[in-house]
Amino acid sequence: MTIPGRVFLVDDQPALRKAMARLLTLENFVVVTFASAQEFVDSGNLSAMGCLILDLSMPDMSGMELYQMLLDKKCSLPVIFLTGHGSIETGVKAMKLGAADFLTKPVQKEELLSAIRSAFEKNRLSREAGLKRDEFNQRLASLTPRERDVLHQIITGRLNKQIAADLGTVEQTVKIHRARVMMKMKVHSLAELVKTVEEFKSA
Amino acid sequence: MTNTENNAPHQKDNQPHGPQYARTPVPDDCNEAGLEPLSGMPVTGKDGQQYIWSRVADIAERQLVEQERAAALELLSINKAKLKAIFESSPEPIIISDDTGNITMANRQVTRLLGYAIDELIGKPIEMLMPLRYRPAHVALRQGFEIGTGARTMAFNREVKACHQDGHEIDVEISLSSIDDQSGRLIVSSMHDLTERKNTERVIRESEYRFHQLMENMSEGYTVIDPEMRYAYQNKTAAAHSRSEPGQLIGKKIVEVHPQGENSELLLLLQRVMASQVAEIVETSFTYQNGSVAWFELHVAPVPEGVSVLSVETTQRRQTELELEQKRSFVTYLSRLAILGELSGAIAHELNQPLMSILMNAESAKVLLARKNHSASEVDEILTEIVEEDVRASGIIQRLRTLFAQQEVINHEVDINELVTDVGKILKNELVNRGIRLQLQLDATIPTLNIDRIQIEQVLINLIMNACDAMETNGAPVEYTVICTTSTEQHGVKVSVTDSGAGIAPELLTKIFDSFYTTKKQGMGLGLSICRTIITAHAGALWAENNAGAGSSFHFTLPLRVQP
Repeated sequence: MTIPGRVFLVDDQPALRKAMARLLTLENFVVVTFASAQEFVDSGNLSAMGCLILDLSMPDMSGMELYQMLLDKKCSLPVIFLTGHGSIETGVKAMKLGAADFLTKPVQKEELLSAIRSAFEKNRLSREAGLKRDEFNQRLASLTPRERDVLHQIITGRLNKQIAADLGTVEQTVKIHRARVMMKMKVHSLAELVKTVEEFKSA
Repeated sequence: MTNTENNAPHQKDNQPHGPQYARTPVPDDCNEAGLEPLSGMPVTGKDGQQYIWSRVADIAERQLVEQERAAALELLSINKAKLKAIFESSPEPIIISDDTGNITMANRQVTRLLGYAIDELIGKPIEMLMPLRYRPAHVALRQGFEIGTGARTMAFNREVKACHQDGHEIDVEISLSSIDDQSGRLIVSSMHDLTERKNTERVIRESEYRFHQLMENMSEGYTVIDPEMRYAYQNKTAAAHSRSEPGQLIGKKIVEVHPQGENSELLLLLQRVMASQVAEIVETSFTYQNGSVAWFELHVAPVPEGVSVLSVETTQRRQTELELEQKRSFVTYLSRLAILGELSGAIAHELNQPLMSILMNAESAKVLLARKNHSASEVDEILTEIVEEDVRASGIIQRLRTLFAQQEVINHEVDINELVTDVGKILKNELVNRGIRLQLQLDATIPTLNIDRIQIEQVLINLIMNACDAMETNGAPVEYTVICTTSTEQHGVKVSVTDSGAGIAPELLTKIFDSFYTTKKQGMGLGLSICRTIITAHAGALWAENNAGAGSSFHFTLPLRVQP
């Protein structure tokens, strides 16, 4: 019973790629290996589901360079760094940039597996969050400009009659707009609407 | 011989030979008639003429004698002139003195030798020509001659001192002879100036003295060995070198003296030089009976008496050299440790790769074995890979251990290309971490070299690391590539490390090899200095130059054969 999602492994050491892939496969992961960062970039898996295990020091494009590229492209694939000799400096840098984990070779099996699992979980959550955001954006897009204006007004806590005065209409009209907003955004209460909008405000 | 001249008239010749009477008048030149008028009286002859009655003597016989005498005198005068000429022309000074010791004659050479004019000498005692201190004794000696006791010992050659008019003494050889004539005994003193001979002798003596002094006091030992391998001569230093008293070994055979006996290296060397007549220089050690060891440089050369051995003790020098070598190799070792310190991260990385693979594989095997239907071949494959990775790890450790541990210089046949490739492996992770590519351009035709692998590796690591540093300090490098090339030279191999970094200021191209000179923030300034020492010890050369484009190149050469 394989775990959904794939483990992408980028390391220039063939023996290590093979050994890791073997273990992870036995642990029911789907593993795809690459000998260089470029190979992975070319594979078109930048936004795939799962996680990326990345060796820091490789010839040509280093692990850190690839990671920077993923960040630039806003890829959601979590990255676990693997290094033969990790310095605190690079570790801190990687974690600050949002790496899922920073492991030093030789890493114990449980540590590795748990890092992968959390990365998977992180990916799952971020993917779910992504789906919800997409949904929210769709709902938001379905509002008319006037409904969108009303939405902005009601989440700041203004009363219908205040909104009507602002928009130069009557309270009844605002009530209708308000009902349509609640319906289109698929919420049942004002509190729920505020929470949803707050959650995706940044988008 | 003025006193031999006797002009006294012969009185008895005046006696008439009996009365004779002549009837003829006495002619004016009656001598021509062999007559000599003695006395006369006038008489009147029968013819009435006036005659002189004269008594005459017949002197014809006497005239004959006188003629002979004149002839003899003439001959004598000629002989005297001849003698005088010989006397005067003699190259040697000659003085003639009479039996009272007074000078009667002296030739020109006397003037030349002793300064006095001849006039100043005539009539003066012979002793005036001697130094004061000898004068009294000479008088006695001379008187001994005069009474005849010294007659036989007169004609000797004897070295004496003469005194010049100006007072300085002159060495002369004098030979005496005596002439007896009617007036007494004359002593002929012929002198030979010895000044020059004495000078020559003195010069030779002084030279010999100096030579002797030199021989005895020189710091090198000098020994002469005769063809029977016996000590013929030994100076003081040589005796000390043999740990013997001066002269103690003379006449003894080497085999009796030398602890190693007949087959000693020394004896073989001496016999070889004796046979070949070709000089040899060797440095060798001697073990004395008390077990102590000393080193000597021996210059063995053929000489007419056998062979000579000039020995210079080099124990001290060798010790200093040895200590220097030890210090050098210790510094080299320290510098190696420093490099390893710098590389430790890369080394750890290198080592962690196989460790990681092994761990992953072992865990995989555990997972597999926990399953009921695991395949043995799969486990076997895993185990094989574990072994392979283990071998790889120990290879890394092996490389490090040699780099760490070795202090002694050991030359081996080394393939320089293999060495360069290995250095590439050691530095691989360091280079990767720094984002630098190492490009190797190796000449496959290079023969093996007899070198100390670890030290040359150290040099190459140093040069490559420097090249990396040079490119990091450069603001905007065109390319982060270090090129390492090997090529065949006329008498060896050249290895070059080229970077595309900032290059080296021309005035620093030689200075960078000085000890404690560094341009790095964290550097001792010993790396290149040690590199050069190592290469020089291999009879090679190490130098730097700036490239035509960016960066600089370091080259070192190694000869095909390095003398141990």
